[in-house]
Parts: sequence; structure tokens; C-alpha cells
Amino acid sequence: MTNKLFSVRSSTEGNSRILARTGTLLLPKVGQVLTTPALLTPSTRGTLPNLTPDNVKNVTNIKAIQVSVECFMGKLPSVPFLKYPGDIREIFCLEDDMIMVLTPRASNAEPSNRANCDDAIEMKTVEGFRKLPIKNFIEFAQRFNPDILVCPLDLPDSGSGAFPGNNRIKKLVHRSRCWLNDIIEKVDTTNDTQIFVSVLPTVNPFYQKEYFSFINQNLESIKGLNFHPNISVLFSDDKDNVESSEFNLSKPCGLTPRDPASYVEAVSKFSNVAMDDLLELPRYVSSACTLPHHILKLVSQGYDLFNDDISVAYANAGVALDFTFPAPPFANDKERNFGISLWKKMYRIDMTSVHCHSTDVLGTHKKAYIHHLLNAKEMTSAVLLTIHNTRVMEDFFEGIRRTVDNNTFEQEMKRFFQIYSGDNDGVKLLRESRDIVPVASAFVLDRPPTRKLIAFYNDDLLWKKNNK
Amino acid sequence: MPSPLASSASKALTFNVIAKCSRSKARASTMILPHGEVQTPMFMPVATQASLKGLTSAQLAQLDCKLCLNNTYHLGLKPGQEVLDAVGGAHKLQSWDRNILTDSGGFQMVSLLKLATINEQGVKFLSPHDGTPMLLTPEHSMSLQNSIGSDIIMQLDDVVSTLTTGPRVEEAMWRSIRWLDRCIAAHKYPERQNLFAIIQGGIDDDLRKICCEEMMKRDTPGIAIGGLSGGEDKSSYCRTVSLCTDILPQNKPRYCMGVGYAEDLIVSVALGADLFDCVFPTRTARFGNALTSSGSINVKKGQYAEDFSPLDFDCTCPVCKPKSEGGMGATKAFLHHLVTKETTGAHLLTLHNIHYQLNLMRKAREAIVDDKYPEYVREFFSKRYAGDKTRYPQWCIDALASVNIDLLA
Ligand SMILES: [Zn+2]
Repeated sequence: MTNKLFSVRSSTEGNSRILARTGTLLLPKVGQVLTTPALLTPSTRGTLPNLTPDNVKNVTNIKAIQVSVECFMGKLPSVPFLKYPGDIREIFCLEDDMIMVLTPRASNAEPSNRANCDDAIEMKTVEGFRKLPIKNFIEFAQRFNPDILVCPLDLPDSGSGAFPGNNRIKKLVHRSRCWLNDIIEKVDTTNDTQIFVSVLPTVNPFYQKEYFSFINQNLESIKGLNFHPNISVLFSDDKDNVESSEFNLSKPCGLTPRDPASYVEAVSKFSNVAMDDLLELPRYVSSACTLPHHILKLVSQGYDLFNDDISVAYANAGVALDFTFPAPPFANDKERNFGISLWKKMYRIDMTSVHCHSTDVLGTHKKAYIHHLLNAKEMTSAVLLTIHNTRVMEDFFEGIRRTVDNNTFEQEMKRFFQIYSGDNDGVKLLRESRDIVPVASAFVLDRPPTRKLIAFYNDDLLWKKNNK
Repeated sequence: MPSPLASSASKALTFNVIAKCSRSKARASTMILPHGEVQTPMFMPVATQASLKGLTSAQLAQLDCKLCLNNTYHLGLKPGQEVLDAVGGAHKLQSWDRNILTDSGGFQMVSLLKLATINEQGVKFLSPHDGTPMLLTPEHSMSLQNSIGSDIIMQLDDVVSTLTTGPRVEEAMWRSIRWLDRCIAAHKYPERQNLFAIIQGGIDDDLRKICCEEMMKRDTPGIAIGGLSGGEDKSSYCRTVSLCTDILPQNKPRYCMGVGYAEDLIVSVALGADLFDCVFPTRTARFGNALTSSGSINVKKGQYAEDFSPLDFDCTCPVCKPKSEGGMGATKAFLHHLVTKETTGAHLLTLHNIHYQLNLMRKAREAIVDDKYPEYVREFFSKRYAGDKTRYPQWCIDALASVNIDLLA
């Protein structure tokens, strides 16, 4: 067996269509063990959005971050951090044992409509169009010395949705193979960097034979698989896509196998690799998911590693996530919001905690305060909500692992979909308009008598409960 | 504990001067407020809208900040008085169980709203939201600050630009005195909130003297020196502060409003002031400026892109302190890379700058207690100007000489 770092702990294979599994991934470089399914926190410019390093250390349990080379493209080929003599974690003020996953592109990267070259990827970054030569990517990989290195792909423009023609397929298979070859040859893996090979998402396995056989020849060096499910489906408003049992990650091209196990089956079929060798590789979804439902679906299909793009996206939108997995035992299984928009005026004097069902990490900070911060356009709202949402996601994954281990994942997933779906769809929450007008009645001449507001505190709720 | 050199106690404030510089007028004191003891000289960071730009109250507490400011004008707009009343005040709203000081709201109005006009009744202005005519009276200001629940509240004063001359200055001075009387009458909670008077009178020595005498008759728990830091020349500023501290009682705290540049703080402490506030350290952080012992540096500059050293080798803030000592160990290169691109860059510089201000005053206090304030002042200037005495500002040399500190010694 080539891969001793990842081992599947329990899986529900054979149990209907659910392929969810738990496992442990050893990361010897930082001396960490990640239990999967696990969450990576995407960083931008080496920092976690809204979280200063002291907050990361003191108020979150973040163990692993995703760093994309795209954030450092500004001054290529002169990248100051490549000159730093020490461990790159030091310069980013990260803890020494923080797991670092290096990817070419950000999880929520914008597709570029410029064509890649034989030796470079074209990307559209926040600073405009940039070209990332593969040799520079390798330089980053050597210098950043990540725990996991995700290989680049020659992806056709995923924006158009068009299926690449035969010549383009040949080219992209060839380029991806060459780039993988370069990386295997040039990146020093003796210091425990684990190479994750990227799966070509829109290409029929039959056409990928060359790529597969190359993977086959280099299985010694490959420690994991990276998938790019088609994000446009995940972003869709249409909740049928989420709920559908035929939830198909590769739409609109429809050529990638529906789940990683059948992908692995195809690879082994076309390349004579022993299935077991590939099945035991960890599977990373490097695209962004915006709903917890998407993550559950992907877990049920057997994926192991995910990016947490949810916490920050909702925090920036003023939404406090409010769900757990398994869903809490509500009296009746009527639909619930999986988050609350703190923009709503109803929270302006609500002195109850932000957390309802998840772990309390905000302590004394109440809904009314975050509502005020949002209204006053104070950045601290995003900081507090990111801290809260990150913990909700951590708890969510803890619940996923627990239910997979005790074989209740499938039924809990069904219950989750029943409770947290329908009108209260998160996409709507993100877009929720805000129409809050500042009240300045304290200064109004001849101030009219106003109805006295009475805030409620957690103690009041308790009191009500006990006196019912 | 030795008995204090001077002390006063009112219902919600006990002030004890515990040490005095044997040369200058600098003094060290403890002040017991409803939300805990604070030590002066002290800088108070400004959390305008009940939040310090991107920091959590836990982070601010970690910097050992014991007293921060909120702005009454802003809190009156958002979240508004009804909400403040409903939730039980600003401490509860922002989860800050330490002390809060609020201004009267008047200065903010006059400086933020061009159309504000002042008459005997109060400050008239148009709502920034819909243009409705509104009025801030001394009674309104007290009512709002009572709803906020701040530990120190400020009287509404008639603010005129320090560059103003002629009868308007005197009018504003007398009106501020009348308004203090109205504030005292309207203040609902003297047992838990301390109303401070504000000395006005521009840079006119006679008016300042009269104002000090009149305000002292009202026997407020503390007194502020207002109407400065508005563009007057530095020597006028120093002369006015020094004149006031000579008259004001030894046993009450003196608050120099709107002062925050390091040199101003160091000199004002020598002139006998205890409390200071300014938005400067937080505002300048958002433009990429870090305050250091050798002056302000802008980390946006290209020269810092590959500078892997901390902002300030002397700094013990959580940002600069190396990881081995429990800090973050941030370098100029990292901050250069973040600042103006990621909000965390501004948050880190804000943390550093507030620490710088708090620490500058903490160390000043230690020096006063050890009766080494003149040495502390000389060391401060020497570091700031890299030992080059020819670069020392003349106003600093003069002001310090007036209180027997020879900067060039
Ligand atoms: Zn510092």
C-alpha cells in the first residue's frame, strides 16, 4: 500500500447509495492528525478573513487552512515572502502546527476567459488578469512547504459551460499530465509534503487514459485526490438540485462520474490501477460550497476534505448561522431557518445570545449588539459573526463524523434536509435586503412620546420557561 | 499603602494622587470609578459607535484598557436612546464591563455638521438622515448620557474654534458655565455617573482663569480642559494647559480633550494633565500608519515589502511580541502585504497603535512613581529623533523648560 497517511475508519459503504466515510489523515510535518470529514479554512493573502491571528488561536479551533498562490501573484516574479528565510507559517503569524494546504487558485476563484499556455495558467485575480507560470508555482510549493500540495489543472473556461472539443481535450490532458510530472519531479516530498492530484472534472474518463496511466506510474508520490465539482450547480437557487437524489456535480457537462468512488472505478478500469490503492486516497473538494446541504451531499458521496467558505460569506452578509448536525430535536419537524439575518429590526433590543443550538463562543455579545454594529457599518460585526459561524461549522463537522461512525448519517441527513430547507433557503438570506433607517428621536424637537421598549435577556427566556 | 498626596471622593469617583514629579507638574494617581479602578496618566481609546474599529471587547481588555470612549452623538443616532434604555445602557450593549466616558455630543455636531448653529437653548442642527430640524440642549445631552450609562459624562459646552477671537470666545465661555448649571440640574444619576465640567475660553489667559474659577465653584468630580487641539499653535496650547492646571484643584482629575499625539501627551503630562483621548491612533492605523518609538511609519511603503522585522523592536503589544513570548510575531512585510487589502491588516495596526498609546502613559506613570519623569521624557525624545537634539521641536523644549525639565541636558 502506497499511502499510509490516510486510513478510513468507518464507512457506510454497502448501505444504499450513501458512501460517507470517516478517516484519519496524518500530517507528519506539523505533527497533526485530522479526522475526516474535515474542514479547511480558506485564507486570503495569508490571513483568515476577519480574524486576526490572536483570534484564530484564542477563539476558534481552526486546525487547517487553505492558501492559494493566486493571492500572492501581485508582484510575480518578485514575491517578497519567497525570500523569507524561516518557516512560512511564521510570516503569516500562524501557529507552528497549523496544517497548510496550498492550491493554485482560491476556492471561490473567478474563471478566467483567457486560455492557458503550455507552461502557465491564466487567472483572473482581484488585481486583474495574471499569468502563473508552472515553474513559479513550483517555486511557491518549495518555499511555502505546505502539508498538502494541490496540483494545477489545465481547466477549460468553466464560465461558458461549453464542452471542450477533441483537440482541446487532448491538449488539456497532456498539459495536466506534464504539470503533474514537473511537480512530482521538482517538489521535494521528503519533508512530508503530500501531493494531491487534481481530477479533470469535465472530461470523460475514456479520454483521460494518458493522465490515468501517468497517475498509475506515480502512485508512490500521490497522496490524495482533488476534485472540482461544478460550482454553478451548487450555487443554483433551485433547491431541487440540492434535494435531488441524482444531484449531479458535473452538470452541465455531465461527464464526471457522480461520486468519487465511481470515478475511482473508472480510473482503475482505464488504467489498470488496483482499485483499493485509489479508494484509500483522501478526497478533497477544492470548490466553494455555500450551503451546509451541499457539504452533506458531498459527504454522502464519499468526499473527505472541504473548504469552509460558508462562515465568512454569511458573516459578511450579517447572518449568524443557526444549525447543528444532527438537527436539534424540535417538537415538530417544521422548517427552520439555518441562519438568522441580524439586519432585521426585530433584533435591535434582543439581548439573547447569538448561538441557539451551537457552542457559545461570543460569550456576552448579544444579537442587539451585532444588529447595532451592522447598522453602524462597524467591522466588528463581521469579526464576531465569523467567530460564531466558524464554530457552527466546526460543530457541524463534528456531528457529521459522529453520525457516520454510528451509522445514522443517512437518516440525519434526510432530517436535516426536511428541517432546514424550503423558504428559508440560505441564498435568500444572503440576498436579504436591508431597509433600516437610523432613529434619531432623542434629538427631535418636541419629541413625541415613544412606546417604551423592553429588551429581553436570556434570563427572561429561562424565567418564562420555568413559569409556564 | 501610604496616604495619598491629594484626594477627593464624590459619590461615584474617588481620586488619589499617589506620586508627584519633584521637578515638573506631572502626577500619578488612581481613580476609582463605578466600573473599576483606573490609573493615570492615561490615554483613552475612542470606540465611537460602541466598537473599536474591528476589535472585540476581549481584545481591548487584553491590551489592559480600563476606560474607553463612546460618542454620544453617534449613539444617539444608532442605536438610539430607546434602544439604549431598553438594553440597559452602553456597557451591556457592547459587553464592556470596564469604564466608559462619553462626550456631550456638541463637539461632534459642530465639527461634523456644517449647518449646526448655537444659541442659548442649545445646538440646532439638521438631521443627517432626513434634514429634519433638531436640537441638542444640555438637558438632551444629559438625558442621552444617562441612557448610555457612561461612568464619566461631559457637560454640553459651547465650542468655538480655537482660532476664533473677539467677543464670541467670551460668550462661549460664559454660556458653557450656564450650560454646566443646566447639566447639573438635569443629571439624573450623580450617584453612578460623574459629570465633568469643561473649561473654555480659547487661548485667552484671562477668560481661562475666570472659567476655571467659575467651574471650580460647581464642584464637579472632575474637570476637562476643552476647546484646544483645534489648530492653535503649540505654545498657546501649552501655556493654556499649564495655566489651567495651576488653578485647578490638585485633588481632582484633569482631562485634556482631543489630545493624542505622543509628543503632546508627554508634554501635557509634565504640565499636570491626567487623562487624554483622541481618534488619531485608530484612524491613522486604517491608513497603514504604525506608531513607534521612533515616530510613525507607513507600512504601505515599498521599503517594508521585504522587511521581516517587527514594527517596533521595543513594542510588547500582542502583534509585535514574538510567538515565543505568546504574541503573534507580525513583521512589517506581513503588514505591508495586508494593509489596505485585508481588514485584518487594519485590525492589527489598530491593536498595535492602541497598545502604543496605553503603554506610553503606563510607562510615564511608572517613571513618575519612581520620580524619574524627566529622564523618561529625555529618553522618549532621544529615541524619537534618533538622538539628534537639533530636531527637537522648540515648543517641546520651551514647554518642558517651563516645568523645570531640560530636554537638552
Ligand atoms: Zn506592536
